[in-house]
Amino acid sequence: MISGKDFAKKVEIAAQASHDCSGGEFIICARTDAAGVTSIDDAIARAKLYIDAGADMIFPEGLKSREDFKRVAGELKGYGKRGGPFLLANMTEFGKTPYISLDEFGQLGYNCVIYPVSTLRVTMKAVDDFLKDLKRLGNQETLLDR
Amino acid sequence: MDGFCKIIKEVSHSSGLPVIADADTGFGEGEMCAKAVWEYYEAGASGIKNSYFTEV
Repeated sequence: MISGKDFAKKVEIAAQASHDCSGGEFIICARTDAAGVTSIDDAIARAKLYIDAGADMIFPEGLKSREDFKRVAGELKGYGKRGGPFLLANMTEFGKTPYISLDEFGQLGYNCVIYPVSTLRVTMKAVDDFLKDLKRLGNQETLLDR
Repeated sequence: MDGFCKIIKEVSHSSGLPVIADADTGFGEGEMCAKAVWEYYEAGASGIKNSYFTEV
């Protein structure tokens, strides 16, 4: 994992570029994987460095419980010159995060939730079903009502 | 980066929705991070755009 200081420099450059190309409209989100590599304390400390460097949003990856999400949101709420960052949660399937609903994420203080491969997974299952049916039945008629 | 921008443009134009795009580690050091922001911004046509940069 890159040092917090070096990554903060990248964030600073990205934030400056956002300012230059879009007047700051383009949101810069900094992801930290520290919770799964070092500790949640490190993830929070890094997030603060990135907010200071100009990140609009923080993406704390690898949190394992609702308590983790609550703690990170609590520590970052209101932090920084601009009144605190937006927060992004990754609700991927088969990851470290328990299945938390959109409403609950909102209550925990998260502004944005991503489902990074969910549409692709659902799509590929449908493709798989079709190809198996085609092989088994020789036509696609059974799929028409699905 | 070209491949990412092509998809961002397609998704942004076809959906009309704000797009969140993974910018990996910024595709390199400082100047590449800045280039990624410019290119991602220009690839997206509507709404709030967002890119996330990863430490690893």
